[in-house]
Amino acid sequence: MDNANKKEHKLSKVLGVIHIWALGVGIVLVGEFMGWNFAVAKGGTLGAIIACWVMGVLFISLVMVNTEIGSVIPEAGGQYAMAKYLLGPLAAFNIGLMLVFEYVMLEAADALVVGQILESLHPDVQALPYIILSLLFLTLLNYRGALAALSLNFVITAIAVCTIFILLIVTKFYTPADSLLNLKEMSNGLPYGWIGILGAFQFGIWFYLGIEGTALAAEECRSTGRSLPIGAIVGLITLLTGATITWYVCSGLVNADDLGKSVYPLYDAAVATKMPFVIAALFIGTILACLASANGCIHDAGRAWFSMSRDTLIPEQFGVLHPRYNTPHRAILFLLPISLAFGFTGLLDQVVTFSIFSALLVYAFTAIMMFKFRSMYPLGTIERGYICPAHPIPAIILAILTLATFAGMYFGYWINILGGLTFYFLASLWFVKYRCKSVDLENFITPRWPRPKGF
Amino acid sequence: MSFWKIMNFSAWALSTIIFLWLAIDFYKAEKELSDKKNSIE
Repeated sequence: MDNANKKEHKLSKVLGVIHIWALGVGIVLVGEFMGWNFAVAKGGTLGAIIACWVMGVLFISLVMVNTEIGSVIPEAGGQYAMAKYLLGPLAAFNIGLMLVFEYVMLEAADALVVGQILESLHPDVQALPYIILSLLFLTLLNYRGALAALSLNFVITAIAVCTIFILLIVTKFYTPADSLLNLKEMSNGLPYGWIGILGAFQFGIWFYLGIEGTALAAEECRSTGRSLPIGAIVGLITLLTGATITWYVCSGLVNADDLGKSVYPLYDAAVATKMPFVIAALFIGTILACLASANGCIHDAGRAWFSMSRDTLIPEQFGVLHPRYNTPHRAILFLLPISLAFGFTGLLDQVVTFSIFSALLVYAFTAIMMFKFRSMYPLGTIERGYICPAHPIPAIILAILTLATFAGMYFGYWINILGGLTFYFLASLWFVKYRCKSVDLENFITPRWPRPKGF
Repeated sequence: MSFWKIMNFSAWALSTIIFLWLAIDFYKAEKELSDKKNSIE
């Protein structure tokens, strides 16, 4: 596909700051309604909040590194586009594939949870029709256009965030004498010491995992330079605040032993208040958070698959836009049965672990790319929209914390790590043996990209 | 038939409608793309 053809395959510029916020927070917010609490089982109440904040530092470093490289790379696509320019086709293929699987797996997990929550309402409720309906409905929205899909995401994400604040307010946290929160009795401190904190990292990451997906919507922003950084930073602040409130409310309302095993911790915290209105609000909040996450994942996975195809890293048939809606309709529909297939397995923990594993690999590559970027283009040799302060500290923090999370994951899911590595190795073999020769290297990167130092 | 069984049936029915809509629109879109390509050639 030459550059003239690439211009014909450009997505519509329709998104603003609120859509980027909705995309980032929408994908991640589900992690505050479930999943993070397994950190309490691994590291205790105190271990969970330490993991939450340490992971917050990982994501702040990630945003700083992403913003510096992203402000220079002349096209959208987040880490995938960065890998194209800094590491070459094989790494770009792998990072694109990791992003696709991160979001497709998360999408399947979200739909599974929607089905499970509804099933808990009554023995006559079947999960399967609701899993299929939610995936098909959200696919339909994304198929019709990103503006409608992400406008809906803004509304449902905002409602879900509000339900967390409702829960906080009804606990009367501001008057210790009347407060429903009882942190002293309910919490269990740091029962397994520092090793427990390490084990808690892989669940603490649930509070923020996926926020980097905002970069995949860059091409659709009306003003990328404004919408993307503001949307992503406000999103990260929302998540940091929401994560701390979630930990505080859940740890004060639910016993640490029960919290560590809970499937829906915020809902269980609402049940502990014994207020029907709050219980109903958190029930709705949990379903909306899952739907918002699945919606954002369908958007991002479709864009990543479309970009890889447009760059000829995978067959070019997926790099075509809908003639009327201007959406990557083939990519969106192609990924639907894959997500449905993972949804049918019912293996929620395996599906989520593969998603987290893929995301961690992307973060590790991002740290490597920052070092490569600074050595190829030292300060002063290329115009930057943003300069990451105190380099290389943020990149080192990103690399160390990513490795620490891998180590924590190894304790419980080493087979998944091995399986994931084998999968990406086999995919790389396929690329090198069969696909590499079809890549249009002439037009792979824009000719305006300046030559690096010493070229 | 209980309320929840009707809801399950409705979810299946709605899923089928959305699936058919997507399939028909995809067919139309592919036809439009193919016509456009043929007219250019």
